[in-house]
Amino acid sequence: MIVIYRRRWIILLFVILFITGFWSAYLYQRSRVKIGEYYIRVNPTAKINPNKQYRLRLWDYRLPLDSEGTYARYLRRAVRDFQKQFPNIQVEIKFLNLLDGEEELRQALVRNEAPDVYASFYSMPDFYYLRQIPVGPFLTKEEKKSYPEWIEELYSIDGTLCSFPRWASVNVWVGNRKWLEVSGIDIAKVQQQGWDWNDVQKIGSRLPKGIFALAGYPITDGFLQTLRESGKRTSEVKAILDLVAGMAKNGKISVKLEHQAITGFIEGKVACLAGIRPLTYRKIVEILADHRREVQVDPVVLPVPRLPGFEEIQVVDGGVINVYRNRYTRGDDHIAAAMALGYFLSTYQDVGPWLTLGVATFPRSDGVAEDLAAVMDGVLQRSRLLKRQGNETSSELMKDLFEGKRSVDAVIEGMNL
Amino acid sequence: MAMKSVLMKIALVGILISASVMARANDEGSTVCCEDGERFVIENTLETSQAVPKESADLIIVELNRFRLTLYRNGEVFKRYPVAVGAPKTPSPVGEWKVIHKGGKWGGGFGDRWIGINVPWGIYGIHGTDKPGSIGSRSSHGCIRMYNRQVKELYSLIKVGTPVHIIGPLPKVALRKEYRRNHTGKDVVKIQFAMRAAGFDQGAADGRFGPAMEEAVKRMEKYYGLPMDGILGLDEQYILGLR
Repeated sequence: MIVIYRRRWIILLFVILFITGFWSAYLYQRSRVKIGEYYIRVNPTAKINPNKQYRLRLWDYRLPLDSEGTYARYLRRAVRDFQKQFPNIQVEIKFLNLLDGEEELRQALVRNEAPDVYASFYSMPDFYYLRQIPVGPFLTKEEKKSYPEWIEELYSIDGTLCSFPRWASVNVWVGNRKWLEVSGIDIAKVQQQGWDWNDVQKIGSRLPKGIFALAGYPITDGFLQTLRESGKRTSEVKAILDLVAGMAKNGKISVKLEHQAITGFIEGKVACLAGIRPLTYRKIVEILADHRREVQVDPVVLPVPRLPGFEEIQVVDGGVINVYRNRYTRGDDHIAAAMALGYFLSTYQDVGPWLTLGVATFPRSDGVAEDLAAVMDGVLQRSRLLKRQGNETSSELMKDLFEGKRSVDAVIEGMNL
Repeated sequence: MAMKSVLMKIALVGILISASVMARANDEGSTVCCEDGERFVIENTLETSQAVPKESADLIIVELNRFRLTLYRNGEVFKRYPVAVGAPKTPSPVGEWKVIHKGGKWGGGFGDRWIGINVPWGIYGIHGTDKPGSIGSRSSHGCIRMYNRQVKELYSLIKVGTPVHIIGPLPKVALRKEYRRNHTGKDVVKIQFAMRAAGFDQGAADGRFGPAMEEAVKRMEKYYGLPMDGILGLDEQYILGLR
């Protein structure tokens, strides 16, 4: 009897060992994607099952164009066109508020209720390792060719494309041709080869009294980011901050015009308007096109100046389409369906709304975008590109520096170089 | 004889009962119960008043150029009346208001009914008149004048809170350099319409810079990459095409 029992135990042990081994091998072999040091379990070769019904949740923003239904119509039309290819995929659209949409996404991610597909408007959210699925492994080589190489690099971590690019643009400066010429700036050369802060300082020293060399809120936003990323020594960073602070002290950077930077430029009181969005540039062009204006201003597109002695670094703004896993995700084929929707939306040919938004340089939608691209393509070729990081602390530091509330040393300390 | 007497008594009772029923019916026909519970005696029974649903979606639209007031119920024209509107020097307030006061009969120049609306820069309303000949002209001090009989009807049909949209040319107003929470005025109405046209709707264009408008301004600022402080300054006014 004892012998029989022992044999049973041995058989049972073998069965347990076999199952455990099989399961371990399965887990080890299971498809995964490596992002940085993390592995994300997903099978990029999974296919959409044509006999299965999928229900995807898509979140996008209630854009101002929505007042006439334009944007909502555009998105619904895009989804309808997508469903012609994939009739078994239902898409539930939710429009987010521009003000709190990002916060809503954050909360949904924490609750594991993020949408399958999220389209951002003017931000590139950091990769959310716990639930986000990188999109690169799901794309064929042909599909990847839909995007410019620089965008692919910008949106990738360790060579893996993490988000579908929706649009992207380098921030631009807009110059007043008259004041730039008075200051002896070779506009064509600046547009083709770039310029640095010493040139900006030169403008400041040659302008008549009452005319500012520079205005614009975004100089306080992206400036420290480029400075921090330049990787230079503290002494060099200090020299540049001294230069900028000196200009502010001499009244060449308009601190008080923070809320009237565009007004100052339109009224011809500012030589350069710093770091504006392409759609804002489009609006300025529209306003200035009114020839009844008392002051005529000829706007010229300029690249953001580099820091003297530093390589050219440009901050890029953009919108992306992300794919997330959530509590409603049912298998990797569900993720494949979400990927198909994300790719379709990011490459949707009808760029109508983007035309109105005036984004450049991807997608390139019309004449204004072409004007921007004529200058920005060169910038993209020669610059190191950074994704914009919204950093209120940086803005506050720069504001304090301009207003003389904080010294250069205090700013450097706050930058945590 | 006895039979005759019984028949007469039955006839008498029948007459009394029918008279009482008719009297009650007449009584019901001569009053209107408004949706806010108020009862009014009016000269003639209005068919429409009997059809007032408990939860109706009413909207009053006053078209200044056409001198007419239309009551929409559930999106369809329900009643239409001719009106007198503000004189050129004292124009009616263009904007999206709501009824805040049903003041009954004020008499005199205000006629038989007063319906107050929430214009923040003055006391405006829809009322009757003792000058019926002025209907169809620009002659009031800004209020909307109606025939007494018709204002009574309108009064019975609407309730406090009913939206009143006055449509017409916006007056020329000088804009301030900066607008922030709690500012009110005709200029704010103008800005609200401009914001809506630009896609930044804040709800009713009621001349009040309230929380909803502040949020709409922030949305616009975020969209254009301006400092998000909810203050509508010169930059925002340029973007809205107001300057």
